[in-house]
Amino acid sequence: MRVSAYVIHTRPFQDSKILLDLLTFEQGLIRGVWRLPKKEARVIPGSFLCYEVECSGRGDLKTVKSLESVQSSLVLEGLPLYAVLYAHELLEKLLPTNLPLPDIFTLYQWLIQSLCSGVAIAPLLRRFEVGLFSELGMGINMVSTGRGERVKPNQLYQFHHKFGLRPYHGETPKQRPILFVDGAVALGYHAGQWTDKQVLSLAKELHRNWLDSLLSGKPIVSRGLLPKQPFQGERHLGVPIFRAL
Amino acid sequence: MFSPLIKELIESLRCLPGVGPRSAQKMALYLLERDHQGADRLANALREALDKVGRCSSCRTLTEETECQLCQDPDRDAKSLCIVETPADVVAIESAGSFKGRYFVLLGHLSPIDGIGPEELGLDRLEILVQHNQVEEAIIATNSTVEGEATCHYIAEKLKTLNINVSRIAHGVPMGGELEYVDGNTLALALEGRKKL
Repeated sequence: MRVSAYVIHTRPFQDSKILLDLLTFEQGLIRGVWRLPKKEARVIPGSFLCYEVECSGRGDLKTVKSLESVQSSLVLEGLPLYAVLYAHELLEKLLPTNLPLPDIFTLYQWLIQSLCSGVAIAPLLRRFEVGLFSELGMGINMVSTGRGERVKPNQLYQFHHKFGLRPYHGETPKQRPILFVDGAVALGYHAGQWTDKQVLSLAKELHRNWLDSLLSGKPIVSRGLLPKQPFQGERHLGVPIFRAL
Repeated sequence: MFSPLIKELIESLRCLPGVGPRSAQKMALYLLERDHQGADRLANALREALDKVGRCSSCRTLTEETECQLCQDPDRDAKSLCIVETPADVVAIESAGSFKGRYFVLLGHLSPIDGIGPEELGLDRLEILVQHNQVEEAIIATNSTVEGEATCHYIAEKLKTLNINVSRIAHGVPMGGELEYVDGNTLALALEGRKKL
Protein backbone atom coordinates (compact mmCIF):
# COMPACT_ATOMS: atom_id res chain seq x y z
CA MET A 1 0.00 0.00 0.00
CA ARG A 2 1.40 3.38 -1.05
CA VAL A 3 0.06 6.48 0.74
CA SER A 4 0.75 10.21 1.06
CA ALA A 5 1.45 11.00 4.69
CA TYR A 6 2.59 13.51 7.25
CA VAL A 7 4.40 12.34 10.37
CA ILE A 8 2.37 13.43 13.38
CA HIS A 9 4.36 11.76 16.14
CA THR A 10 7.28 9.40 16.67
CA ARG A 11 8.07 7.19 19.63
CA PRO A 12 11.13 5.05 20.29
CA PHE A 13 10.31 1.37 19.90
CA GLN A 14 13.45 -0.73 19.78
CA ASP A 15 17.07 0.22 19.37
CA SER A 16 16.77 0.36 15.61
CA LYS A 17 13.04 0.97 15.14
CA ILE A 18 10.55 3.72 15.88
CA LEU A 19 6.78 3.91 15.96
CA LEU A 20 5.30 6.43 13.55
CA ASP A 21 1.86 8.01 13.73
CA LEU A 22 1.02 9.08 10.20
CA LEU A 23 -1.79 11.25 8.90
CA THR A 24 -2.46 9.83 5.46
CA PHE A 25 -4.71 10.98 2.65
CA GLU A 26 -5.92 7.47 1.89
CA GLN A 27 -6.25 5.81 5.30
CA GLY A 28 -6.59 8.63 7.83
CA LEU A 29 -4.49 8.22 10.96
CA ILE A 30 -2.37 5.07 10.85
CA ARG A 31 0.36 3.70 13.07
CA GLY A 32 3.43 1.91 11.80
CA VAL A 33 6.85 0.58 12.72
CA TRP A 34 9.81 1.90 10.80
CA ARG A 35 13.35 0.58 10.84
CA LEU A 36 15.76 3.50 11.17
CA PRO A 37 18.62 3.75 8.72
CA LYS A 38 22.04 2.80 10.10
CA LYS A 39 23.38 5.07 12.82
CA GLU A 40 25.59 7.25 10.59
CA ALA A 41 22.59 8.39 8.55
CA ARG A 42 19.94 8.27 11.27
CA VAL A 43 17.30 10.93 10.73
CA ILE A 44 13.90 10.74 12.38
CA PRO A 45 11.22 11.70 9.83
CA GLY A 46 9.00 14.66 10.54
CA SER A 47 9.46 18.37 9.93
CA PHE A 48 6.11 18.87 8.16
CA LEU A 49 7.17 17.15 4.98
CA CYS A 50 4.69 15.21 2.90
CA TYR A 51 6.09 11.71 2.44
CA GLU A 52 5.24 8.96 0.06
CA VAL A 53 5.03 5.98 2.36
CA GLU A 54 4.95 2.34 1.44
CA CYS A 55 3.53 0.19 4.19
CA SER A 56 2.15 -3.28 4.61
CA GLY A 57 0.20 -5.30 7.17
CA ARG A 58 -3.45 -5.98 7.89
CA GLY A 59 -3.41 -5.19 11.58
CA ASP A 60 -3.57 -1.82 13.29
CA LEU A 61 0.21 -1.55 13.37
CA LYS A 62 1.64 -1.41 9.84
CA THR A 63 5.19 -2.05 8.74
CA VAL A 64 6.58 1.02 7.05
CA LYS A 65 8.81 -0.23 4.22
CA SER A 66 9.89 3.05 2.69
CA LEU A 67 9.43 6.71 3.37
CA GLU A 68 10.42 9.38 0.89
CA SER A 69 9.68 13.10 1.03
CA VAL A 70 7.87 14.46 -2.00
CA GLN A 71 8.06 18.20 -1.37
CA SER A 72 10.58 20.88 -0.59
CA SER A 73 11.25 21.69 3.02
CA LEU A 74 9.08 23.81 5.29
CA VAL A 75 10.72 25.50 8.23
CA LEU A 76 8.55 26.46 11.18
CA GLU A 77 9.86 27.98 14.35
CA GLY A 78 8.56 29.76 17.41
CA LEU A 79 4.82 30.18 17.82
CA PRO A 80 3.89 28.50 14.52
CA LEU A 81 5.81 25.46 15.73
CA TYR A 82 3.81 25.40 18.98
CA ALA A 83 0.63 25.75 16.89
CA VAL A 84 1.58 22.64 14.93
CA LEU A 85 2.25 20.73 18.15
CA TYR A 86 -1.26 21.75 19.25
CA ALA A 87 -2.74 20.55 15.94
CA HIS A 88 -0.83 17.26 16.29
CA GLU A 89 -2.16 16.75 19.80
CA LEU A 90 -5.74 17.32 18.63
CA LEU A 91 -5.32 14.91 15.72
CA GLU A 92 -3.81 12.24 17.96
CA LYS A 93 -6.49 12.58 20.59
CA LEU A 94 -9.54 12.98 18.38
CA LEU A 95 -9.02 10.92 15.24
CA PRO A 96 -9.87 7.24 15.11
CA THR A 97 -7.21 5.11 13.42
CA ASN A 98 -7.53 3.55 9.96
CA LEU A 99 -10.54 5.63 8.94
CA PRO A 100 -10.08 7.50 5.65
CA LEU A 101 -10.54 11.24 6.26
CA PRO A 102 -9.06 12.92 3.16
CA ASP A 103 -10.46 16.35 4.05
CA ILE A 104 -8.55 16.33 7.34
CA PHE A 105 -5.35 15.58 5.44
CA THR A 106 -6.07 18.59 3.18
CA LEU A 107 -6.96 20.72 6.21
CA TYR A 108 -3.68 19.84 7.93
CA GLN A 109 -1.74 20.57 4.75
CA TRP A 110 -3.48 23.96 4.52
CA LEU A 111 -2.67 24.68 8.19
CA ILE A 112 1.06 24.05 7.98
CA GLN A 113 1.41 25.93 4.71
CA SER A 114 -0.52 28.88 6.15
CA LEU A 115 1.59 28.84 9.32
CA CYS A 116 4.70 29.10 7.16
CA SER A 117 3.35 32.23 5.51
CA GLY A 118 3.57 34.17 8.77
CA VAL A 119 -0.10 35.17 9.18
CA ALA A 120 -1.83 35.45 12.59
CA ILE A 121 -2.02 32.07 14.29
CA ALA A 122 -5.29 32.22 16.26
CA PRO A 123 -7.63 32.47 13.21
CA LEU A 124 -5.79 29.56 11.56
CA LEU A 125 -6.17 27.35 14.60
CA ARG A 126 -9.85 28.21 15.03
CA ARG A 127 -10.50 27.43 11.36
CA PHE A 128 -8.60 24.17 11.75
CA GLU A 129 -10.70 23.24 14.79
CA VAL A 130 -13.94 24.02 12.94
CA GLY A 131 -12.84 21.77 10.08
CA LEU A 132 -11.85 19.02 12.47
CA PHE A 133 -15.19 19.13 14.34
CA SER A 134 -17.09 19.16 11.09
CA GLU A 135 -15.20 16.20 9.59
CA LEU A 136 -15.70 14.20 12.76
CA GLY A 137 -19.45 14.90 12.63
CA MET A 138 -19.30 17.12 15.71
CA GLY A 139 -19.77 20.50 14.06
CA ILE A 140 -21.18 23.44 16.01
CA ASN A 141 -24.40 24.95 14.69
CA MET A 142 -24.33 28.74 15.06
CA VAL A 143 -26.83 29.59 12.33
CA SER A 144 -30.04 28.19 13.82
CA THR A 145 -31.37 27.46 17.29
CA GLY A 146 -31.98 24.00 18.71
CA ARG A 147 -35.60 24.36 17.53
CA GLY A 148 -34.56 25.15 13.98
CA GLU A 149 -35.25 28.90 14.02
CA ARG A 150 -32.74 31.04 12.19
CA VAL A 151 -30.45 33.10 14.43
CA LYS A 152 -31.34 36.82 14.56
CA PRO A 153 -28.43 39.28 14.66
CA ASN A 154 -29.99 41.50 17.35
CA GLN A 155 -30.94 38.70 19.76
CA LEU A 156 -28.85 37.36 22.67
CA TYR A 157 -28.54 33.57 22.89
CA GLN A 158 -27.36 31.00 25.39
CA PHE A 159 -25.41 28.07 24.00
CA HIS A 160 -25.83 24.62 25.56
CA HIS A 161 -23.77 21.59 24.68
CA LYS A 162 -26.90 19.47 24.39
CA PHE A 163 -29.51 21.87 23.00
CA GLY A 164 -27.37 24.24 20.94
CA LEU A 165 -28.51 27.86 20.77
CA ARG A 166 -31.54 29.14 22.70
CA PRO A 167 -32.82 32.74 22.76
CA TYR A 168 -31.98 34.45 26.05
CA HIS A 169 -34.25 37.11 27.53
CA GLY A 170 -32.55 37.78 30.85
CA GLU A 171 -34.11 34.92 32.81
CA THR A 172 -31.95 32.71 35.07
CA PRO A 173 -31.19 29.64 32.95
CA LYS A 174 -32.35 26.29 34.40
CA GLN A 175 -29.20 24.69 33.08
CA ARG A 176 -25.94 26.49 32.99
CA PRO A 177 -25.05 27.26 29.37
CA ILE A 178 -21.52 27.00 27.98
CA LEU A 179 -21.71 30.67 27.07
CA PHE A 180 -23.93 33.54 26.04
CA VAL A 181 -23.55 34.88 22.57
CA ASP A 182 -24.80 37.80 20.59
CA GLY A 183 -26.71 36.71 17.46
CA ALA A 184 -24.55 38.87 15.19
CA VAL A 185 -21.38 37.25 16.55
CA ALA A 186 -22.89 33.76 16.17
CA LEU A 187 -23.66 34.53 12.52
CA GLY A 188 -20.14 35.93 12.09
CA TYR A 189 -18.79 32.63 13.44
CA HIS A 190 -20.96 30.69 10.99
CA ALA A 191 -19.72 32.88 8.12
CA GLY A 192 -16.10 32.33 9.18
CA GLN A 193 -15.31 35.99 9.89
CA TRP A 194 -11.99 35.16 11.56
CA THR A 195 -10.73 38.70 11.35
CA ASP A 196 -13.46 39.84 13.76
CA LYS A 197 -12.12 39.92 17.34
CA GLN A 198 -15.48 39.04 18.88
CA VAL A 199 -15.87 36.05 16.58
CA LEU A 200 -12.35 34.91 17.49
CA SER A 201 -13.07 35.30 21.21
CA LEU A 202 -16.29 33.34 20.83
CA ALA A 203 -14.53 30.61 18.86
CA LYS A 204 -11.72 30.31 21.40
CA GLU A 205 -14.03 29.94 24.37
CA LEU A 206 -16.52 27.77 22.52
CA HIS A 207 -13.91 25.40 21.08
CA ARG A 208 -12.14 25.12 24.42
CA ASN A 209 -15.38 23.91 25.99
CA TRP A 210 -16.22 21.73 23.01
CA LEU A 211 -12.79 20.08 23.09
CA ASP A 212 -12.93 19.56 26.86
CA SER A 213 -16.21 17.78 26.38
CA LEU A 214 -14.96 15.68 23.42
CA LEU A 215 -11.85 14.68 25.36
CA SER A 216 -13.79 14.06 28.58
CA GLY A 217 -11.69 16.62 30.41
CA LYS A 218 -8.30 15.14 29.40
CA PRO A 219 -5.81 18.02 29.35
CA ILE A 220 -4.38 19.43 26.11
CA VAL A 221 -0.75 19.89 27.15
CA SER A 222 0.28 22.01 24.16
CA ARG A 223 -2.21 24.72 25.19
CA GLY A 224 0.38 25.65 27.83
CA LEU A 225 2.80 26.64 25.05
CA LEU A 226 0.43 29.02 23.28
CA PRO A 227 0.09 32.62 24.49
CA LYS A 228 -2.51 33.18 27.16
CA GLN A 229 -4.38 36.27 26.05
CA PRO A 230 -7.08 37.47 28.40
CA PHE A 231 -10.56 36.76 27.16
CA GLN A 232 -12.31 39.86 25.82
CA GLY A 233 -15.77 39.84 27.32
CA GLU A 234 -17.73 40.09 30.49
CA ARG A 235 -18.55 37.11 32.60
CA HIS A 236 -21.92 36.05 33.85
CA LEU A 237 -22.41 32.92 35.93
CA GLY A 238 -18.76 32.21 35.26
CA VAL A 239 -19.24 32.13 31.51
CA PRO A 240 -18.53 34.88 28.98
CA ILE A 241 -21.08 37.14 27.40
CA PHE A 242 -20.55 39.34 24.43
CA ARG A 243 -23.04 42.10 25.17
CA ALA A 244 -23.93 43.69 28.49
CA LEU A 245 -27.32 42.60 29.74
CA MET B 1 13.14 -26.29 28.29
CA PHE B 2 14.96 -24.04 30.80
CA SER B 3 14.60 -24.01 34.56
CA PRO B 4 12.70 -21.06 36.07
CA LEU B 5 15.89 -19.25 37.16
CA ILE B 6 17.49 -19.48 33.72
CA LYS B 7 14.21 -18.44 32.09
CA GLU B 8 14.08 -15.41 34.35
CA LEU B 9 17.69 -14.50 33.48
CA ILE B 10 16.93 -14.73 29.74
CA GLU B 11 13.81 -12.61 30.12
CA SER B 12 15.71 -10.04 32.20
CA LEU B 13 18.46 -9.68 29.60
CA ARG B 14 15.82 -8.85 27.00
CA CYS B 15 15.30 -5.45 28.60
CA LEU B 16 18.58 -4.35 26.98
CA PRO B 17 18.22 -2.44 23.70
CA GLY B 18 18.76 -4.58 20.63
CA VAL B 19 18.62 -7.86 22.57
CA GLY B 20 16.03 -10.29 21.25
CA PRO B 21 15.13 -13.76 22.62
CA ARG B 22 17.94 -15.56 20.79
CA SER B 23 20.63 -13.08 21.84
CA ALA B 24 19.34 -13.11 25.43
CA GLN B 25 19.51 -16.90 25.49
CA LYS B 26 23.05 -16.84 24.10
CA MET B 27 24.19 -14.30 26.68
CA ALA B 28 22.60 -16.17 29.60
CA LEU B 29 24.14 -19.50 28.58
CA TYR B 30 27.52 -17.91 28.00
CA LEU B 31 27.55 -16.34 31.45
CA LEU B 32 26.38 -19.51 33.20
CA GLU B 33 28.53 -21.96 31.26
CA ARG B 34 31.74 -20.11 30.52
CA ASP B 35 32.19 -16.98 32.58
CA HIS B 36 31.00 -17.28 36.17
CA GLN B 37 33.46 -14.63 37.28
CA GLY B 38 32.27 -12.19 34.62
CA ALA B 39 28.65 -12.89 35.55
CA ASP B 40 29.40 -12.23 39.20
CA ARG B 41 31.13 -8.96 38.34
CA LEU B 42 28.23 -7.90 36.12
CA ALA B 43 25.69 -8.70 38.83
CA ASN B 44 27.64 -6.75 41.46
CA ALA B 45 28.27 -3.78 39.20
CA LEU B 46 24.63 -3.62 38.24
CA ARG B 47 23.47 -3.86 41.87
CA GLU B 48 25.93 -1.25 43.04
CA ALA B 49 25.17 1.14 40.18
CA LEU B 50 21.44 0.80 40.77
CA ASP B 51 21.90 1.53 44.47
CA LYS B 52 24.31 4.41 44.15
CA VAL B 53 23.88 6.16 40.80
CA GLY B 54 21.53 9.09 40.85
CA ARG B 55 21.32 12.52 39.25
CA CYS B 56 23.90 15.30 39.56
CA SER B 57 22.41 18.01 41.77
CA SER B 58 23.65 20.64 39.35
CA CYS B 59 23.36 19.38 35.78
CA ARG B 60 21.12 16.29 36.30
CA THR B 61 23.35 13.88 34.42
CA LEU B 62 23.96 10.39 35.85
CA THR B 63 26.49 10.17 38.70
CA GLU B 64 27.02 8.44 42.05
CA GLU B 65 28.27 11.64 43.63
CA THR B 66 26.25 14.67 44.64
CA GLU B 67 27.84 16.59 41.78
CA CYS B 68 29.23 14.91 38.65
CA GLN B 69 32.92 15.16 37.71
CA LEU B 70 32.22 17.73 35.00
CA CYS B 71 30.45 20.04 37.43
CA GLN B 72 33.23 19.62 40.01
CA ASP B 73 36.01 20.33 37.50
CA PRO B 74 37.39 23.85 38.27
CA ASP B 75 38.83 24.10 34.75
CA ARG B 76 35.39 24.01 33.14
CA ASP B 77 33.86 27.38 32.38
CA ALA B 78 30.75 27.73 34.54
CA LYS B 79 29.68 30.81 32.58
CA SER B 80 29.10 28.74 29.47
CA LEU B 81 26.23 26.25 29.65
CA CYS B 82 25.20 23.63 27.11
CA ILE B 83 21.61 22.39 27.37
CA VAL B 84 21.01 18.85 26.12
CA GLU B 85 18.18 16.32 26.20
CA THR B 86 19.87 13.23 27.67
CA PRO B 87 23.05 12.12 29.47
CA ALA B 88 24.01 10.36 26.20
CA ASP B 89 24.10 13.79 24.53
CA VAL B 90 26.62 14.97 27.18
CA VAL B 91 28.85 12.03 26.24
CA ALA B 92 28.45 12.84 22.52
CA ILE B 93 29.44 16.49 22.96
CA GLU B 94 32.30 15.59 25.30
CA SER B 95 33.66 13.17 22.73
CA ALA B 96 33.75 16.04 20.21
CA GLY B 97 36.15 17.72 22.64
CA SER B 98 35.45 21.32 21.65
CA PHE B 99 33.18 22.44 24.48
CA LYS B 100 34.77 23.39 27.80
CA GLY B 101 31.77 24.69 29.68
CA ARG B 102 29.15 22.92 31.79
CA TYR B 103 25.91 21.13 30.99
CA PHE B 104 22.26 20.97 31.91
CA VAL B 105 20.34 17.80 31.05
CA LEU B 106 16.62 18.27 30.39
CA LEU B 107 15.87 14.53 30.62
CA GLY B 108 13.56 14.76 27.61
CA HIS B 109 11.92 17.29 25.35
CA LEU B 110 8.53 18.96 25.01
CA SER B 111 6.10 16.35 23.75
CA PRO B 112 2.48 17.34 24.39
CA ILE B 113 1.15 14.08 22.91
CA ASP B 114 3.13 12.17 25.56
CA GLY B 115 1.96 14.59 28.26
CA ILE B 116 5.35 16.32 28.60
CA GLY B 117 4.96 20.08 28.94
CA PRO B 118 7.36 22.76 30.20
CA GLU B 119 6.79 21.82 33.87
CA GLU B 120 8.10 18.29 33.34
CA LEU B 121 11.46 19.52 31.98
CA GLY B 122 12.69 21.16 35.19
CA LEU B 123 13.15 24.56 33.62
CA ASP B 124 12.83 26.26 37.00
CA ARG B 125 16.04 24.46 38.02
CA LEU B 126 17.69 25.61 34.81
CA GLU B 127 16.84 29.22 35.60
CA ILE B 128 18.22 28.87 39.12
CA LEU B 129 21.45 27.32 37.75
CA VAL B 130 21.85 30.11 35.20
CA GLN B 131 21.46 32.77 37.87
CA HIS B 132 23.59 30.98 40.47
CA ASN B 133 26.53 30.36 38.10
CA GLN B 134 26.12 33.79 36.46
CA VAL B 135 26.01 32.08 33.08
CA GLU B 136 26.89 34.37 30.18
CA GLU B 137 26.12 32.06 27.27
CA ALA B 138 23.65 29.19 26.95
CA ILE B 139 24.07 26.87 23.99
CA ILE B 140 20.95 24.87 23.25
CA ALA B 141 21.81 21.46 21.81
CA THR B 142 18.44 19.73 21.69
CA ASN B 143 17.76 17.27 18.87
CA SER B 144 16.85 18.62 15.48
CA THR B 145 13.37 17.11 15.58
CA VAL B 146 10.04 18.96 15.72
CA GLU B 147 9.90 18.47 19.49
CA GLY B 148 13.58 19.37 19.93
CA GLU B 149 13.10 22.61 18.00
CA ALA B 150 10.00 23.52 20.03
CA THR B 151 11.92 22.82 23.24
CA CYS B 152 14.80 24.97 22.02
CA HIS B 153 12.51 27.89 21.23
CA TYR B 154 10.74 27.63 24.58
CA ILE B 155 14.00 27.59 26.55
CA ALA B 156 15.48 30.41 24.47
CA GLU B 157 12.46 32.62 25.22
CA LYS B 158 12.81 31.87 28.95
CA LEU B 159 16.54 32.49 29.09
CA LYS B 160 16.46 35.71 27.07
CA THR B 161 14.55 37.30 29.94
CA LEU B 162 17.64 36.68 32.11
CA ASN B 163 19.77 38.83 29.78
CA ILE B 164 22.22 36.17 28.66
CA ASN B 165 23.42 35.19 25.20
CA VAL B 166 21.45 32.25 23.89
CA SER B 167 22.62 30.28 20.86
CA ARG B 168 21.59 27.13 19.03
CA ILE B 169 23.98 24.53 17.62
CA ALA B 170 24.16 24.77 13.82
CA HIS B 171 22.45 22.41 11.38
CA GLY B 172 24.24 21.27 8.29
CA VAL B 173 25.81 18.68 6.09
CA PRO B 174 27.58 15.97 8.15
CA MET B 175 31.35 15.58 7.72
CA GLY B 176 32.00 13.13 4.93
CA GLY B 177 28.40 13.52 3.78
CA GLU B 178 27.45 13.67 0.11
CA LEU B 179 25.00 16.43 -0.82
CA GLU B 180 23.05 14.10 -3.07
CA TYR B 181 21.95 12.06 -0.05
CA VAL B 182 21.29 14.89 2.39
CA ASP B 183 17.59 15.57 3.05
CA GLY B 184 15.99 18.79 1.80
CA ASN B 185 15.40 20.29 5.24
CA THR B 186 19.03 19.90 6.30
CA LEU B 187 20.25 21.37 3.03
CA ALA B 188 17.89 24.35 3.36
CA LEU B 189 19.17 25.01 6.88
CA ALA B 190 22.79 24.51 5.77
CA LEU B 191 22.30 27.14 3.06
CA GLU B 192 20.59 29.49 5.49
CA GLY B 193 23.45 29.19 7.99
CA ARG B 194 26.26 29.39 5.39
CA LYS B 195 29.58 30.99 6.38
CA LYS B 196 31.36 33.76 4.55
CA LEU B 197 34.82 32.65 3.42
